[in-house]
Amino acid sequence: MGKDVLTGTYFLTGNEACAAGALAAGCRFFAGYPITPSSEIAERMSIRLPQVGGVYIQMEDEIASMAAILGASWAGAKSMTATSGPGISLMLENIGLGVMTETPCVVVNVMRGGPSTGLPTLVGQADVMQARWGSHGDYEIIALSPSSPQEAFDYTIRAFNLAETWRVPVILLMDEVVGHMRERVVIPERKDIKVANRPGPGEPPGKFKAFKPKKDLIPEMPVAGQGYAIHVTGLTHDERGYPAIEWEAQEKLVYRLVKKIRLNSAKIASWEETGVEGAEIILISYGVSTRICRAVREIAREKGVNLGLFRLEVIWPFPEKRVQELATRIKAFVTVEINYGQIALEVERCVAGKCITQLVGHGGGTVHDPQKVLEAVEEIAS
Amino acid sequence: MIEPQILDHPKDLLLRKERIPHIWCPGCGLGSVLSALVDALKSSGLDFKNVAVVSGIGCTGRAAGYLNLDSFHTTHGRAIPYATGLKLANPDLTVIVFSGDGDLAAIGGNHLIHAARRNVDIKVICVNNFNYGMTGGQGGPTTPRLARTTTTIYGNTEKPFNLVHLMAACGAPYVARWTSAHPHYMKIAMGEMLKKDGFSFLEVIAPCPTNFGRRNKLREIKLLQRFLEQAILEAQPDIAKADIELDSPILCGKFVDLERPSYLAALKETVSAKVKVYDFRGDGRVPLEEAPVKPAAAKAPGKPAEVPSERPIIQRPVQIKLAGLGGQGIGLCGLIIGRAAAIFDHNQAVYTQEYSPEARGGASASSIIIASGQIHTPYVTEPDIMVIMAQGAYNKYQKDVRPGSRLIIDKDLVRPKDLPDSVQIQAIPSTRLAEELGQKVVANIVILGFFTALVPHISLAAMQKALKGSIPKGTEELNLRAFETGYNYGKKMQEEEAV
Ligand code: SF4
Repeated sequence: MGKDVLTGTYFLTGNEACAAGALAAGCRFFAGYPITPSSEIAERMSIRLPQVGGVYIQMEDEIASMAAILGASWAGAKSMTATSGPGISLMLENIGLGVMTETPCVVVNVMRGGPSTGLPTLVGQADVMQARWGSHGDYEIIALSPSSPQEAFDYTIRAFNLAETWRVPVILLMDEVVGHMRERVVIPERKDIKVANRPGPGEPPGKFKAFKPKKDLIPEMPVAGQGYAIHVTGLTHDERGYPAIEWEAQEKLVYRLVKKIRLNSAKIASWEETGVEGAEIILISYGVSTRICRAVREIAREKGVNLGLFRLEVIWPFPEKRVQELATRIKAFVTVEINYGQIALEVERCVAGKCITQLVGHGGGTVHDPQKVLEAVEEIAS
Repeated sequence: MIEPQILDHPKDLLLRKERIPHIWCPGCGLGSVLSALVDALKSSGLDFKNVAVVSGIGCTGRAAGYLNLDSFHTTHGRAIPYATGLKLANPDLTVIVFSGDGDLAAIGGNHLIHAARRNVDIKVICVNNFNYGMTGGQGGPTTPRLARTTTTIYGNTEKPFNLVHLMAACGAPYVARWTSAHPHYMKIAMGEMLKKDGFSFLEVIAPCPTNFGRRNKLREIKLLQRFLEQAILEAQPDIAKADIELDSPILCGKFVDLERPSYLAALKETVSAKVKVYDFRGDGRVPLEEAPVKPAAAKAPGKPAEVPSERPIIQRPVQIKLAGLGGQGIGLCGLIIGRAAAIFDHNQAVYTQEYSPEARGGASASSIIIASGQIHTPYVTEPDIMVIMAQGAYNKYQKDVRPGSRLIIDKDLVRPKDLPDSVQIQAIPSTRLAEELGQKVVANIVILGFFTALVPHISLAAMQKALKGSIPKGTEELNLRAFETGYNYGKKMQEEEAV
């Protein structure tokens, strides 16, 4: 029997670190379908899971992969899948089922250039709005974005903990650069890794209602085989989980699914501020693009421009309040992302005209040229 | 007066009473199928706590919701992969998929054939009503030829699936077919499926009287009559003759019942001995032994020793690019340099590799950036050092060689041309030296040793440790000799230059 946490210092790709993080978080079920640039995660899981008594299964497509991790979660597993590009589009249907049935699981999307087949081997960051609302219907979700292999390890654990705590599929929005680049990754000892588990049923079968909200609007979760005779449906349902095809039930359920994330966003949202105090202009970014922003800050500092950096660790829910607050004190927010304006629109919405908002977009295939970002900053500064 | 006493119906235990009456139409066969399943479960001896039912979408898909078991009403067509997840996460569960033909064979067809091939132990009850009942009776993959539905009003032109034949061809170890007019046989088949370790498939013909029957002159009673009169019950029916035509007899019976290791059994058979783990389940209930904590070993991957005294301090990030042809192992060199710097020298290192179609056989490159402080941009844009092992790679990457940079090449395999004078060229016959050592494949390690002798950014100790941890067992001696050969060549060259 192998160990689930291989404590040590390594030189890993983001994809390898992600797989290591999943195991450390307690993931024992992975269902997936090969797709560039995420396949190394599946490969690694196929080696590691059997060593710790877990199950790796390669499904016939991404639709099946997503369905399988939902089923596994309801049998008590911490489950994950990983994909990219067209694969994430195929998963959206069952991500919706996961949201509606409040099923904890982790979906890794190693973003590549799109739309369609796009740039299979090269970077993109254009699935950000899709992560938020890609499945039909109204909902809120959690998405995180690592900017280094070390963060790929750390955030995968966070993703599992968030999924278990808030009972929602959590999307790890990695990108091709972070997925494929190697850097030092330190895997701590098992006892130093914080792991959260879903709240189990507090009452015996009979009276217990599987979808009755408890603390923080989260219902307690029994799983198959515990004797609760649960009913789990993607139809609008009541607190017992039974279909309720009427607007009152819809309002009660869907509003709660939205509120459980929105009202708790202070506990979920997470970001890193660098040099924000006293800054005139703040770069806002995530994933690999934040690395470029750090390089830009260094050049700008040499030129005497006081530039802050606001890095989104958790992208959804968005740190609305903090962005609003900062907008009243600065001249401009400059969003740097590998798409033509997704988070930039969210920033614009929050800022609501209180400062300048500017996008430095990119079509994908490579990272931003720091010089281009700097030019945008200098134009605003002058 | 005596109060009337309301007794529980014998099937009540397994039904969610509060959800009855069900939504199915009068005369629909679905009720008999559900009833047969309840009977089969009651005589199975199974602990109902460990029985789960999964449905997709449609009239049949509602069955899960009426059973007082752990029940899952999923998305259209996806019951089988969902059930696969349930079963593999908790193999103690008996997992039944109860769904319709449109759900399982049309939108879910891909899942159906793969589940049968894979032989995951799930029991699939496919109720074939010849059309899409819930949406008003449209044609589907099981609609008989010439039958009228709301979308085949001139008569269906497509050939329908012969589902039992399909399942047998995919390798399902248990395949049977009955009609809703055969509750007794259905129950027997379901009982057998519940005992089977493997993918089992039961097709129940139960045409939808409301939609299909009405349009094809087969009202409730007539439908039942047709089944009872026209069903052919055979002990060993010929699966090739199981096609269903609008007026043809319907061949029923058990078509396949054989032994084949289920998915989990095959997993144990093939993998257990190799990983020394004898149970696999997704729910994490296979106990992990606490392996004894070994003292930090000085190999990569592993725990690095203290910060080495000879750690090179690199103020400004150094960009290194290595290029060669597929098979020369240039990627491994990059990896070793990265490991040496990041793990053993306690510096920062970022390694990237070109992922392009050329990576398979053609010229390819890997890049490393090393610094003592943070490294932001991941890509090498202006290499300070380039290592090139083949002419093809030189031709492709010559454009990246900058004035004032260092170029390390294989002396025999690369002829540099059109370079600025300021480029410092350092050459070693690495392939020839490797051949002299007996193995051409270690040319990359020879050039790595040479690189280590000349480039001050990575310590020798770190490089040696990284090398040891990065090569296959049994090749250590050869690789270390190759490294030493290259290193000594480089040192000698430096001394000669100094003279
Ligand atoms: S529509 Fe057809 S299949 Fe559906 S319940 Fe009515 S009779 Fe049965």
